[in-house]
Amino acid sequence: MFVAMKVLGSVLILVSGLLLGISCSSRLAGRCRELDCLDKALLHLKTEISYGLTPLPRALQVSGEVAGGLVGRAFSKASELVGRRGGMVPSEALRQALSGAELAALGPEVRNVILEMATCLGTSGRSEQIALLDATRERLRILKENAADDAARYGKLYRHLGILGAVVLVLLLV
Amino acid sequence: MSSATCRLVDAAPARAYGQGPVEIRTRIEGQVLPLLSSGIARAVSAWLQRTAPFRRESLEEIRIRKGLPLCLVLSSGDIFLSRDGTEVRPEAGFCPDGGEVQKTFALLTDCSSYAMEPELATGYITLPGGHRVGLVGRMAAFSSGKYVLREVSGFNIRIARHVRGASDKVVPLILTGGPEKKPRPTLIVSPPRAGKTTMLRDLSRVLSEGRADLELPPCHVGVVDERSEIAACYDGVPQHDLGPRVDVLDRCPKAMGMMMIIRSMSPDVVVTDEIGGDEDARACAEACAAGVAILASAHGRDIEDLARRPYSSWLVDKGYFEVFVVLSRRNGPGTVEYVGPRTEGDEKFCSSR
Repeated sequence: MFVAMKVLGSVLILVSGLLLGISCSSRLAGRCRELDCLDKALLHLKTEISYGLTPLPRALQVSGEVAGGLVGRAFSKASELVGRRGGMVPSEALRQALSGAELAALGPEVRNVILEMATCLGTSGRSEQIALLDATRERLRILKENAADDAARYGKLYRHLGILGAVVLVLLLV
Repeated sequence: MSSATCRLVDAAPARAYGQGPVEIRTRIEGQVLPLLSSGIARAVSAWLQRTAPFRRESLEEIRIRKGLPLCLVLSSGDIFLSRDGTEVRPEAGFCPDGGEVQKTFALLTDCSSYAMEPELATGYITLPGGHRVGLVGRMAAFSSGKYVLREVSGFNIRIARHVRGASDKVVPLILTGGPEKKPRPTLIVSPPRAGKTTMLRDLSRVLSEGRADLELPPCHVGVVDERSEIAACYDGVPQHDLGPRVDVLDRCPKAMGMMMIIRSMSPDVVVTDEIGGDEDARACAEACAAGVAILASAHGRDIEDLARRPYSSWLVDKGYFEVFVVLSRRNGPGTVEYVGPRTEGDEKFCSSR
């Protein structure tokens, strides 16, 4: 009975370690996915502004729908808050929309880049807005490359660390 | 009122049937105040709640200037508001700061300056409900020769109103005689803020609906609304009631638009606002020659004032317009001073409001 309990406990520790590793690893992968969604949203926003001259609330809504993911949902939420209908300026609306805990994985750097962009969003002519979105996408591209590096480098590491840590703990306890 | 929680309560076309004092307040509260920064909106809202209905009804403009007192233009004169909406002397007035003006500009443009570049270049934008916002600030010149308004520092929000029946006294006087009644080419002349556009708007509605008592059959009316002031289209929908047979060519230059609408929509009447140059005058003459009745307006105190201007003198002299309607603010906006041909003959003379 005692041995069976030990085996069961060891298995539980191993599974927990494995899941913890996978969770840390998938958080890194998830950050890359959200950055992809953000890039897609900004690209679509640029299209809406440059070709459609779509008013910002509608442009944010459409971009959010196209991008999908948590970022897409944040854009859609911002679209309801911004402009004549919501009474907020883009920086206020995006700050509020990005404040959800689930978007914390994006990291403070990405949030800062978006909020810096938001202070100038919709305040100037078409060509200036295009330049603003291009500059933002360029800054995000560098962050996305770093995130992809981190995911490739640390993703496997976290998975291995999880299981190895669990094995070490089991050995110590046994 | 916090601007963060404001909502437009009525972005639908403002069909202005039976517009009374309460409705003006509702329209301002629903369509204009949510687009002002919280401090300005609070002051105007408090004034609207506190003031007597007849004064509310007489509100014509809200003038917001950076660093200068908040001013409301009533038909009886200007008043200045304190932060809590009480009427004060200008020195004690509430002066919106740069942040408030910037936020108001963002909300007025729906945070989409890029989508309003043509409007901003002309110096005004149209809001839902047909209210017009004039803008001032620093004009920036580009090498392309284009001027763009930057650093907006002031707004003049003109409250749109459709005065149903404003043209009742004028309509019988602009129609042809004989059994088949139709409108004659008519030019409405007045100084600014005397009701030219309101008169044109109501004439468009009456002609579009027809009037059985005058044996006037309904006409198809084409409106060339270069300044988006007659129909005040928002999202392509006229915000004023211009009747059931109206086609609007919105924000199209008059000179181009008049012939375009004649060719494309075959209207019985073409309505256009503020003939302001040689090109506009020539387009009017061409449209008159095409056999379509033109209803237009022009700035001026009287017909002779108009005849002294180079671009409009030949238009007046050569008799392209058969009827002139002169308006003033003598007894308030829309006072009809004269209706008739250039040389007063046996036509009726009207001097009542």
